[in-house]
Amino acid sequence: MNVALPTLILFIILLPGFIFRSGLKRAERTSIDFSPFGRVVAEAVLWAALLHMAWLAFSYFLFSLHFEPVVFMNLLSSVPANQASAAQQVGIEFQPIAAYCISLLIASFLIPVAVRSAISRFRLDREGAPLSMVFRFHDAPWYYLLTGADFSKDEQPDLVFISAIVEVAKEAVLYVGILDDFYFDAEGQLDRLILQQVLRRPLSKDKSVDQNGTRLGNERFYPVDGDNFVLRYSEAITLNVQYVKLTAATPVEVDSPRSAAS
Amino acid sequence: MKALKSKLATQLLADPAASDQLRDFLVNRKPSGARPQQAGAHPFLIRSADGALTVQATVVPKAAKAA
Repeated sequence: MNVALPTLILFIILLPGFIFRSGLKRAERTSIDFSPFGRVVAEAVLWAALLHMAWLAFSYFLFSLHFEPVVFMNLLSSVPANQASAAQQVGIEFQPIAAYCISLLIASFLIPVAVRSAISRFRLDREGAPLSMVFRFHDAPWYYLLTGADFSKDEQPDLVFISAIVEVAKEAVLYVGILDDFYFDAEGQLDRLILQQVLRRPLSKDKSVDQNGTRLGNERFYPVDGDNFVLRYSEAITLNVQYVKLTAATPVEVDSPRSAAS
Repeated sequence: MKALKSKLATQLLADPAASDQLRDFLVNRKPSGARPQQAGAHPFLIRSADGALTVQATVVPKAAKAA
């Protein structure tokens, strides 16, 4: 069996870069990444180069293992004799080379997870932050809108209030509720929202004043029974997002029924 | 993906009376440009096993860009 050894070596060298790149991105789509091929490859090669530089430095400082560029070039060479001698040298040093490759692959899975959570935790990606151009996840607009990730820690709201107009039986109906969860489809488009404490009313019953001059309020709405209301984004005509901040005051002493009875 | 919901909000929503008050506040706010819009003079009272807590709700504008 003939194996294109240089191609295999290149694949092993570049694979950590591709894994690292896909792990670092916070993208809302799960289907194929349609980024331009050139950009994908350029980013992956860059990450692979940085990872190898770091790993070679670790290998040198921790285990006194040197990188042999001549052996590496011979492995990529098309001359069979050079390849054979390089392969023999790799065979002699197989254990450390295998450890290098396996640890690098594991790290290329784990490091992006840690980096991503650090970016989110310290809010380095929020709009207007000094390094947001570098750290912002540009492929995740809904993430920023619906999780409040663009707020600073001090200004962070407590919940998201959603209003959506949905056409039901050729009538526009306004649904309002508190956002609990949201899901994407494979293309990264918002698929459905899970709302709680949902109220609904026909849009035609807009705010008005009754005969006594009193503004009609909550009675225009009626509650939707159930704990979780699934709103399909494709069925929403408009979607309004509001952020609500709750400020806690001092705890209040309330008489329990038992103590009140005694 | 989990939406934004703080511990305090979860606590408030777990109390039926307080969550009803919050809903009333959210659907009956005056539609004006004045922000932030605060709940009236009656803050919500959250009752839980640990005691009671008064909470004031405010609708806040979207995040301002950092300087």
